[in-house]
Amino acid sequence: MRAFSKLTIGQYYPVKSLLHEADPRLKIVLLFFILTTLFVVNNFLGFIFISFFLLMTILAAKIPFSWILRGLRPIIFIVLFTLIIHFFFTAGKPIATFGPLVVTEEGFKNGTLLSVRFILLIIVTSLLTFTTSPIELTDGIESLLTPLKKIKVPAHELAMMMTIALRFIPSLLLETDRIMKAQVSRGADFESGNLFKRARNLISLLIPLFIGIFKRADELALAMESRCYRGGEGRTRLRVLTMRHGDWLIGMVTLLFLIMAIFAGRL
Amino acid sequence: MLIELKNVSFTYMPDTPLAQQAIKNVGFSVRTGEFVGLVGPTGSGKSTLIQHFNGLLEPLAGEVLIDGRRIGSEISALLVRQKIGVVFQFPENQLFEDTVFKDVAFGPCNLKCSDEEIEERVRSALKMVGLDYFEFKDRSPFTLSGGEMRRVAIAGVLAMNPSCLVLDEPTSGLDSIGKREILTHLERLNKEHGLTIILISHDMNEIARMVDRVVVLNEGKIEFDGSPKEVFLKRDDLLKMGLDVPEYASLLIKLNERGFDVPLDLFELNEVKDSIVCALERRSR
Ligand SMILES: Nc1ncnc2c1ncn2[C@@H]1O[C@H](COP(=O)(O)OP(=O)(O)OP(=O)(O)O)[C@@H](O)[C@H]1O
Ligand SMILES: [Mg+2]
Repeated sequence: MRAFSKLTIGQYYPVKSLLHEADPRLKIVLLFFILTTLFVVNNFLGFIFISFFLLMTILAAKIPFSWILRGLRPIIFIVLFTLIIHFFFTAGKPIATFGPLVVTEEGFKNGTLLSVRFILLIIVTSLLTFTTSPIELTDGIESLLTPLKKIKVPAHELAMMMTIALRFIPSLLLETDRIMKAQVSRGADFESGNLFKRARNLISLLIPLFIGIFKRADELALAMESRCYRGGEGRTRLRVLTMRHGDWLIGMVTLLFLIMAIFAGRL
Repeated sequence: MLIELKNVSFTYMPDTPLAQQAIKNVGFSVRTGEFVGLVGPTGSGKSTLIQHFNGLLEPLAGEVLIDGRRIGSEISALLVRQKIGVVFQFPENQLFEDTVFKDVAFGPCNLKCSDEEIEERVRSALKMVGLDYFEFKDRSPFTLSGGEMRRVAIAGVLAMNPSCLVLDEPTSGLDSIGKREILTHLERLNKEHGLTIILISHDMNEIARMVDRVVVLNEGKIEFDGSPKEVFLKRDDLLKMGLDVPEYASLLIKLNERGFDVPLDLFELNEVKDSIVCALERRSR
């Protein structure tokens, strides 16, 4: 039960900031540019440029650093693993020895660069989800995919599926929590016991949950149909995405930084 | 004291921008055999509060004692859940077995009762909610009516043999027959079986008629705590919070303001009628 309160799906951090109000399409496109840059850049100077840029962005987005760090927690293990593998198992010029293990210069450089790249990658991506609500995100994706409709990509349907899925995740977590509490009140134990007992307890959670999901899906379909939903053809939108002057400015500044980072990063 | 809360506070999602303090420094206790009504406007923290009674939520500050023992350290969570049975809102959503018998038996099974004991408990739990054992035990819970499903779910908690039953809006969404069925059984459980009952409800007529004591929660704090008469006399405060007052209480208070000498603590149609008739006769004399 405890686990659910710590899970922050979607991870949207609701404050008002320049970045929160920017057009989601801009943020998605810039994310792709930044990710590309991260893979092009190949030395520390380039990464210093990007880190500085991200630092500014985090400040502008008013996200506390503790949240950024929390987002990094799940990858600590992977980063450490990468570092160790590279440090000790890359051939090249030795710079230090620990017993039978030898650290090489190439290993040190590659390992650190790869780890930094990975950490920055996670930070940029989480910046997008911190500053963009799931609904804005799907709206942005739909809008960006629209040109692909010509080659039969079902942009609207994909976005609608994403919207519904995102909309249902919190309800499902809440519902799970509720049913779990009801069964725990009847003496069920989801945390200990042998396999057989746990499976039986899990059934007491899953059956009511699935009944609920099917009921909800049915009701949603009915509600959409009774409000004349019939696909994306000719449907107008409530929130029209617009690029404001500030957004263009954000885009320009970011591109400028990225170009500098690429130049520095390929020296 | 069966249940005792000392300065309990609780916050959802603490240390995030979404933090929301749902319970603020609540002190409150329930004695064995009491019938307590817990009322409050939407979002006042009623459902959050009752989850502290059986250890589903741990208070951020303060402590919860059951029979004078602290949950977790001095009394095990399983024992607390056996002693304090909690019936959540729409409890029929927790049904999952293919027969009524198996579903009601879920609790006793978790308490590792013997087969004979389980059968005995299921039999008496179904009786307590007024369902015939032989008629219902082999039916699928999903073929029952809404009111019957709800009574089966309540029986599932009663089968744990609790000394206190906590119910979160047990009558919401039922028709008047379903409501009455559940309420009469609750009343009997309290009067005849000596079960302590804590009832959350938005229906003030229901509360006034059934309970010995009303606790009013508003924005996570206890605003009033007393007999129905004492609490419903604060009609203006209650209305300001967005709560109703029982219709009879409203009528009697208004008559009193106009100078009629009527008692204020009547919540049954016949008594109210008689007292008004009496007052009118006295006046015409
Ligand atoms: N799981 C949760 N996560 C975050 N906040 C919650 C959660 N459950 C309740 N809250 C918040 O806590 C406050 C108290 O909610 P609670 O459900 O206890 O109220 P209630 O008195 O039972 O209301 P109602 O009469 O509508 O059932 C509300 O403001 C609600 O938004
Ligand atoms: Mg509630």
